[in-house]
Amino acid sequence: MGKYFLKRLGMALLTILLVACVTFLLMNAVPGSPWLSEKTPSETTLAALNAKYGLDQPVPVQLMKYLQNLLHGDFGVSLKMQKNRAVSSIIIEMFPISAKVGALALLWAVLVGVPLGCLAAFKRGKLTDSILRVVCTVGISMPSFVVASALLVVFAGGMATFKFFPTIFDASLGWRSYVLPCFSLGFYPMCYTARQTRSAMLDSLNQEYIKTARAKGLKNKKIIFKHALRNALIPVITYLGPQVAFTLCGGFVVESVFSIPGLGRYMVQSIQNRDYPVIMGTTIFIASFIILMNLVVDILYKVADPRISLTKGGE
Amino acid sequence: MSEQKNNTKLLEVKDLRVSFFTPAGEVKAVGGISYDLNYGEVMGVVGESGSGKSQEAYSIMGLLQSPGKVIGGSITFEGEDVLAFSPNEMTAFRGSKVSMIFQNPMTCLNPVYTIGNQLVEALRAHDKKISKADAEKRAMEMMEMVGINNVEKRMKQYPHEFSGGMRQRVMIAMGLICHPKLLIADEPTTALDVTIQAQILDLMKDLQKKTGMGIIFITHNLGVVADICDKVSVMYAGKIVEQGPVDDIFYKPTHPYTKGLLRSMPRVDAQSYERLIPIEGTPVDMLNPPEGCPFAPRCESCMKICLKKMPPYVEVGENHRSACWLCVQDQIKGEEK
Amino acid sequence: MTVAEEKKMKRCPVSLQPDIESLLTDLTEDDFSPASKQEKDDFIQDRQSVSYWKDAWRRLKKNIVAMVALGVIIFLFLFAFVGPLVVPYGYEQFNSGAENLFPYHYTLEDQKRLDEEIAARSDSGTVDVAELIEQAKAEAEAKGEKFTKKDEAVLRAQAKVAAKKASDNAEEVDPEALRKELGIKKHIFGYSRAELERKAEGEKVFPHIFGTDMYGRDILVRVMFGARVSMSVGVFAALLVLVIGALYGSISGYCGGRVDAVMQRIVELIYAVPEMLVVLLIATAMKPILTEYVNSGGGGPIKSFVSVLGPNLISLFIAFGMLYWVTMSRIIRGQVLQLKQQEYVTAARALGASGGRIIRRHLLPNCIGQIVVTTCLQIPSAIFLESFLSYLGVGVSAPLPSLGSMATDALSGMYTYTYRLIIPAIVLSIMILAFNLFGDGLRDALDPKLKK
Repeated sequence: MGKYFLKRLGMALLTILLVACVTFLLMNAVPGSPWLSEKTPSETTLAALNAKYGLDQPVPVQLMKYLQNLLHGDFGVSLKMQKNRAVSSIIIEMFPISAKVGALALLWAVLVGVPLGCLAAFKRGKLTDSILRVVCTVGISMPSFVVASALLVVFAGGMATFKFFPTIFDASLGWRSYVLPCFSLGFYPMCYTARQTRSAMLDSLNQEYIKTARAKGLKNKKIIFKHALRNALIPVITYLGPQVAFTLCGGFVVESVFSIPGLGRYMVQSIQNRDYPVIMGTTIFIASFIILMNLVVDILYKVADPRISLTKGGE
Repeated sequence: MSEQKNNTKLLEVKDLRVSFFTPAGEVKAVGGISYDLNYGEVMGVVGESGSGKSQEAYSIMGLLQSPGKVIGGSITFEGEDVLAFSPNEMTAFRGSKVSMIFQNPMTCLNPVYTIGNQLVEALRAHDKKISKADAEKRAMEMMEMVGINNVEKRMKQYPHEFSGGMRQRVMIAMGLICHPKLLIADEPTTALDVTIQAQILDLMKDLQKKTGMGIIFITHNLGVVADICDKVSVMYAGKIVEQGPVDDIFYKPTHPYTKGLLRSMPRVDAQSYERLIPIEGTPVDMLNPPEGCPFAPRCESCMKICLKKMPPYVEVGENHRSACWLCVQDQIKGEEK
Repeated sequence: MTVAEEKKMKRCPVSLQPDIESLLTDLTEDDFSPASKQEKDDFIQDRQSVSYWKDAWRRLKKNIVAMVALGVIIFLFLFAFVGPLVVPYGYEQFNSGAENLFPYHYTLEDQKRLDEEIAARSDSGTVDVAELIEQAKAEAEAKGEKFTKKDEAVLRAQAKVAAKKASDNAEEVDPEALRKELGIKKHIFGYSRAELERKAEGEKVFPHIFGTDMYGRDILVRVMFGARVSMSVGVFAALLVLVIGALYGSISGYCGGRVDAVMQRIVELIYAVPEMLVVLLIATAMKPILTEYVNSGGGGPIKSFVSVLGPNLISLFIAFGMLYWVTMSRIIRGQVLQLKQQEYVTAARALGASGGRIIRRHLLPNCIGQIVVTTCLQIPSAIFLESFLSYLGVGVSAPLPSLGSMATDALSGMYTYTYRLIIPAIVLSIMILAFNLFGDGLRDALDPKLKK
């Protein structure tokens, strides 16, 4: 167990390093600089600015320096968007909002998706199943901006006399401002989870141990909830791992649509503004979070499935 | 006569027909079979894969998977019509009066629950009053009975920690935990090593003597049948082609298929120069079963009539009957004499 | 043999052969003669052996949902690739005078009636002050009273208030309500007034079926081009993923051992990389580089290829090519590992077949079903990603329209011009839905085990 954990942790760190390097190189490959849109500074100021932020040095040196600072928890400072503010403090400010929206979205996605999937599997071939299948397939066919826009039209359009749920995020309104973003963010994972649960459930119901359970004279309820569901949830967990992190870090789109001051929106803005340290910082942070979540899920997965021994590790 | 028989009859199957309604058409997996089984009797059902022997057993248990359906005939268990059971009655019936063990012990146990959990569950499904501690005690007794050592520890282990033979023992313990009157064993030894096979067979024979239950033993291995069964039904393409006491089947087989099966089986008493003779050809396509005897195309003594009509059952000995035109011919000849 | 003799035959008690006697009637000696080989062979009615693909196609044809989805996909292809030939507008063409058209119009007469009505309503309130004063003067004189300056001032003030009210009224005239009052009906398709007049003169004018945007660009054509972009991205990306994934997976699975271990570590590494993030980065980073490359002058086939497709699309493909093949490669590796143990592969190897030949002739044909399904389901996910990036403004960018960027553009006026948001969103959703449903159907058809 310990050895496996260490191995996975090492792998995770390596991945984070890789992401950091790739991001850094990509950013530096982009022509243009963070100073471009400001009142075209003179050659000398430009050189001074570059020197101040170390942009005049060769790329590998910059990379090494950046990685060194990263090890000490220093993500650098914003060059443009919130000038000279430490990127880490920006992340600390923005992440909780994203995390809250994401966690709520995912919560409803799982709490609704899994039971719906079970229901569909259980009613296989019947009308309920067909309806659920159609709904879920439609759900995974609608990009989140389509869902979000539809909500905007309904809840803020001309005909909406009903403006109970604000379409522009306002923390002072409490839970009401979370409803629409969480719905649109969670809709896709909900449908996906339902589909996954359905097929995993069907797969599980076709296993021989279900036949054994039936031969034992167990009641249907027990067969489904005890024997089929637990096995079916194992693949669902693997899907949810990356999804957790991704949703938590904020559907970039949903945050933009509802003007939520979260990390995802900020990251997109930083890319558009070429604020290198912010891009680097947010990317590395989100990536590490996702990688960490994958690790957690992997371990959870092995706990849920006694067949996989942790000591052997690997695949 | 029939009144008298009913007292000893545990199970009576009459003209059972099972079909699978596949997109390609109706597959008559079981095409009208009849037999009966007395209390404490062991019947072997022998046939190659696809002959419908498992489907026939599943229909007794109500375990047929869609698109399979019983389309005719009757199954009577201790005077009750099994096919008329409501789903709840069927659930109560399974596991308590009849239980079943399957071919592959590797996949038949739920991998995410402990052995103890699954054994106790089988007991408590039918005995609601029994306390958890008592149920565990019973489970451990059963495990000891099927020859598993160190039960306390074993109860807490997961299926993947058991070997194949051990798992099959667990399956047997699970099947017998409610003292069923009938045990259906669907190729219980096929997936096991030969040495383990013998152990499991011995165990089953032993348990049968102790409990006095009836067993339907489904297998494609005639050798297994000789060891354990009182009588044998030989199935081919969804039909019973020959049925009789085990000695008759082995020493006086009448149906060419039975003969072929016996010839293709290695024997201890065989002369060293004797070769095993396989049955030529392949089984018929169950999707469009031909009229006439399904075995005819593979039969070396095939006659013209065989290709036209299905032969009737002919009594060839006491409780020994066979469906073959050869037997009909013999009978006619015998009567002519 | 007589009938009487047959009847004597013992009938088996359990046998339920209903009419054994009738079975035994009209038997002849000939019936008991041995059958010839020929007769035996004729007896077996072999099922027509159905090939894998035929069987799959038969199953697919029965799946109504999948067939409808296929129909929709074909329709969308025609829409995207043939459609622009029919519609005489370009996606970049600014139709002046036809800005902000709704996807419906009012007839010229109705528009005139409406204008007159509005003019009439706003006129009714305005009164000429001087006339009013003259009137009052005359009245006063008739009565023998004196019309003072003060009276005049009061009148003027009154008139001013009235005029203001009237003009307020005129502004408040809601054209929508007025149209309802007048019974003016909407007619489908958008035409600008000028176009309607041209049409009235007998000229043939192609309608703006989905209306136009704020620059007067025809939305239908833009949606067609957007669909074209989405579908090309989907198909090309899926093919790219297929080629890279299949090559990588089969080599890794076939070689096994250390090669496999190293290759799998790489896959694991890429797996752990958050795809969406990196795609976002790649798309942003590659675009300027490629644009510079295209603009740098010179020729060459690669350059012309890049410039034809546009740097945006290419950077999307690069992102796909770098990241999305891992799932495909895993699937194929798994299949190859499984198949490698099959005996016919051992047999082929024993016969001295080369590695490449074994992969080509034995391994790939056997996992083709899964490959087809995965590829097919890759298309909607690529479309999804493209629209996502375009929506965020880093995917396909102006002047080439994309369904995602059209939706972003429409956000600003979304409450008035809701159709501009809804139309691309619906087309996009239907497209992804059709591919998803067809992919599902294909999976069910190619792998009946999965469905049950």
